[in-house]
Amino acid sequence: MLYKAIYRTTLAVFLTVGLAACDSDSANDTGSEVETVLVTDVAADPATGRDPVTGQPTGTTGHFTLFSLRDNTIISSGDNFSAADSASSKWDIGFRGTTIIVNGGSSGPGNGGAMLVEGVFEELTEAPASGYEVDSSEKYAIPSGSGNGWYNYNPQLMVLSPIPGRFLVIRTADGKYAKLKILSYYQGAPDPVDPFSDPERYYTFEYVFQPDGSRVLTDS
Amino acid sequence: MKIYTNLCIGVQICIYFARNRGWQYAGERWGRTKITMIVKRVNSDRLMIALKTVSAFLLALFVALVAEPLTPFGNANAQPAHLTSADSLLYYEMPIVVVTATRGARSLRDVPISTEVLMAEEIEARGNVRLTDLLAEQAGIAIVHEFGAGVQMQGLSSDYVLILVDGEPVIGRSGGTLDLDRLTIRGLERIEIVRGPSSSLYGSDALAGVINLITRDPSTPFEAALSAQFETHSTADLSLTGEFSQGPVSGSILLDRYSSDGYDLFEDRIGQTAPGFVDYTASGRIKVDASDRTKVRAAGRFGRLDQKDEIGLSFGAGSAPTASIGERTEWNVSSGVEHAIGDRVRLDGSVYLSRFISTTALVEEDSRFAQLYGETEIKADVVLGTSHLMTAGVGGARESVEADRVVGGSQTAEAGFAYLQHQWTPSIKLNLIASARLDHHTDYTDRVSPKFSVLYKPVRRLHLRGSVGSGFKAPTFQQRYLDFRNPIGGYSVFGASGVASTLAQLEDEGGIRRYTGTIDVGTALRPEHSWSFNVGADAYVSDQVEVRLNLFHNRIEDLIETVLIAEQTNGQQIFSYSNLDRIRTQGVEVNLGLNPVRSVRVDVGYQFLDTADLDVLDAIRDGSVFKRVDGRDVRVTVGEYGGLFQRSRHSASLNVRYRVKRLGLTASVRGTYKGRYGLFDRNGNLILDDDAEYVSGHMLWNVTATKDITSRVKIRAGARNLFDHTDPELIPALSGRLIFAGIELRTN
Repeated sequence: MLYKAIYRTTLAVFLTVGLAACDSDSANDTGSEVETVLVTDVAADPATGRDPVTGQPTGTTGHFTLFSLRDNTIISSGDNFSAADSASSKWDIGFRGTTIIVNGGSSGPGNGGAMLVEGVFEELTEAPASGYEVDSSEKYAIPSGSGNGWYNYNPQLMVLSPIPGRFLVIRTADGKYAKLKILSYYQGAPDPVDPFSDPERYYTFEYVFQPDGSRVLTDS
Repeated sequence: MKIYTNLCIGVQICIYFARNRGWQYAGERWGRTKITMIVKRVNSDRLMIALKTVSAFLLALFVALVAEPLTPFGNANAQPAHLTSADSLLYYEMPIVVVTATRGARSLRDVPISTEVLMAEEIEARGNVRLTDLLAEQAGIAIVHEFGAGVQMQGLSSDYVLILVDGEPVIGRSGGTLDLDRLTIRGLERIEIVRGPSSSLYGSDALAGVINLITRDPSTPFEAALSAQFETHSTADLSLTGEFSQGPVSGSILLDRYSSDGYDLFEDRIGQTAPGFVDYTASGRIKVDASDRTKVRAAGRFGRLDQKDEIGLSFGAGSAPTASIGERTEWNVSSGVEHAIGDRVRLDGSVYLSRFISTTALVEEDSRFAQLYGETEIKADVVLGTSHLMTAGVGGARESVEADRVVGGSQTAEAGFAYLQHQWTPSIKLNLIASARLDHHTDYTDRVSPKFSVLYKPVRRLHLRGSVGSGFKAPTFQQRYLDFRNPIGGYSVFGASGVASTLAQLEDEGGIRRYTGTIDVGTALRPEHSWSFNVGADAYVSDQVEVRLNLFHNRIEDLIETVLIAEQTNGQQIFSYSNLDRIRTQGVEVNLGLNPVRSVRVDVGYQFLDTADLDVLDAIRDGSVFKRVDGRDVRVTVGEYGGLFQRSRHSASLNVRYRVKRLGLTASVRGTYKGRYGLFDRNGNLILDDDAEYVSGHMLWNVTATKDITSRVKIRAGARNLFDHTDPELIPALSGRLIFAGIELRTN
């Protein structure tokens, strides 16, 4: 319990720092220093209930929750779906269930792309110059499926967990670079997860966004 | 005459002697063979036709030979003239004869393939009722509860262990596991445990080894016994056995009822941790010595389980429990004829048919799985010269399943096989066996499984063994034919044999978004296959002390795994099966047997086991496996990798039996240590690499005392898990202390 309390508090502090950092960044675009931003519980089209008979989740809208990395804010989501925003370059990354899209190709008008990188998040100091995949009708830039993309599904525990040592490098809608590591798929980022009581389809992630257009992603 | 006597010593076929000394069983088993039935042709090809033709020809030949009027229909108990009692004395020191390792009778100590035997006396002294409880106490064997109680040998799971009852395979696996709780150990003469690959004689599933339950052979004119045993949780076992042996005809029956109320380790959860059940077994065997050259046998077994449980199906608030009813029905029948031609040739033909039906009923849906397996085989044993014994067999099998989740509702497959074994005893010190088997199947690629074993006795008290062999496991029906669509879960799984046509259909309908391209769709699965090495030494240090040591190494390739093969336009994923994985298990088994005084027997066993998924190991060496520690990702090291889940690195067992003949009292104490083992991944990388992923090591103690009140009445009492060790969350199959008591009545 104590651990959980500390963890939650830490998250809150990080979040505050993150928001502050974003604010200062947008106020002063010349600084090349970037900060790690922690974002908690981004709802990715969660279910509002379950069918009492079949157990099938109910209340999902089918819409992606669209997120701006520059502004650290949600642009459009299920209940507040905006077709205009969805078709704009305001957002960089979108979440729906385990599926993640980036603003480009078949997903949006932006210049976005992404790649799944294997390694230690903190060790990556510069985004690769090339190798970015773009969403297409054939496939998404970020592969889906247990073990293929960002998560593993453990059938014994019935828990979906991010694969350690894998993170995303993202080219945003406006061609800036960021790296992003998913920390949890469950509301409140519980550890351990109780798949029966912890609501799923809530992303907690951390990211580093470089607003100056360079590929430098050092978190200093 | 002289030559034949020498031959007997050399090849150690003590068949005739065995019969005369009352080890009739060994005699009956020598020349285990099977003839028969050629089943309806489905998808036959040349090899299949060849195998069938050969077996049909042999069958016809065999029937002709058996029917030969010249064969004297004489006194079945007549002693073969060429075996004098003086010769027989040679075998007095070989009290245990085994049949599994070579498909023929061999003295336990002289069989080159590592075999362990549990005799009736030992089984009885422990007071166990089901096979699960008995095997759990054996060194080097672990019971893993996944889809039932499965046996793990040399670190390989139940999928790779063939279970036989009187030489015939037990069918009906769930998730690969053959549930040992299905098998009663009443009425058994002995259990033979062969470790190491035996596919060269038995084909699929005999990759890690073979466990053969051998029914007691009737030896008295008439005998009946009634036993009743009661245990905690209202568990009761009632059994009635009867046997007779009248001239050339002998037979036995067994009726057993095993029931329990189950137990509940979590009061606050819906349903029981282990639900109550009633399980019936009925079996019977009959043998007729038609002549001193011909023996006919028939056997049947029926099993039935009814189980009722409650599960929380509803997802709404205040959900009410839902009844879940499980049923299992199984039966099998077999028949065989054994015939000797002269002193050197023995034929055995048999037919075996087995059925397994399992049904689970929930509110709205019933799920049913039914399997039918038929096998016919003919085998010949031929003695060549003074030191060679050849065994050759050929046969066919037909297997079908019916299940809701199988393509088209039911599927049938055919198989043909042929095997050859050569046993050679060039000198009294040396024993060699080479064997190989070809398995041909309609659904997967052909498989040849060779094996070579050697036994060398540099001195009388030291036996050195070595074997190298290949084993295989056929793809399961699920892996071949599954048709499982789960729109709620957002995925479908198709068996490898049906996936190509299903995908083609979906593609025609425009339902495929893309293929992942990781496997070639429609490629026939290969059987999972292995190479295994076993090296051992048995030292009979003195009459009181024996030490056995065995080193083993198993490497299995082409393990079949589920893989993502395509995505549908609606975002759903399609999985199928492919030959992907490679694993290794290796270790050391040490057994020490002590007879400090005549009344005491002590057995101590220890196993060191090292296992690994070889692909995971490679990935760790490449630095591409990570774990998350306090939000940061770090590389997993080879040292942190704990190998495969559900494997204890260290395990041990102790078995002490004390018998005071004067008082008719037997006491038995068994201790089983299961070192820590991985249960499941907790840190997201799916491998065993963190202390939190282990179940801690634990020791269980079982005690039993048996007292003969009179020669006809016996009482027994004991406790299992004496010190009440439980770990409800991690080991729900461990119920806590169980106290039992029982009585046994015999007619003579």
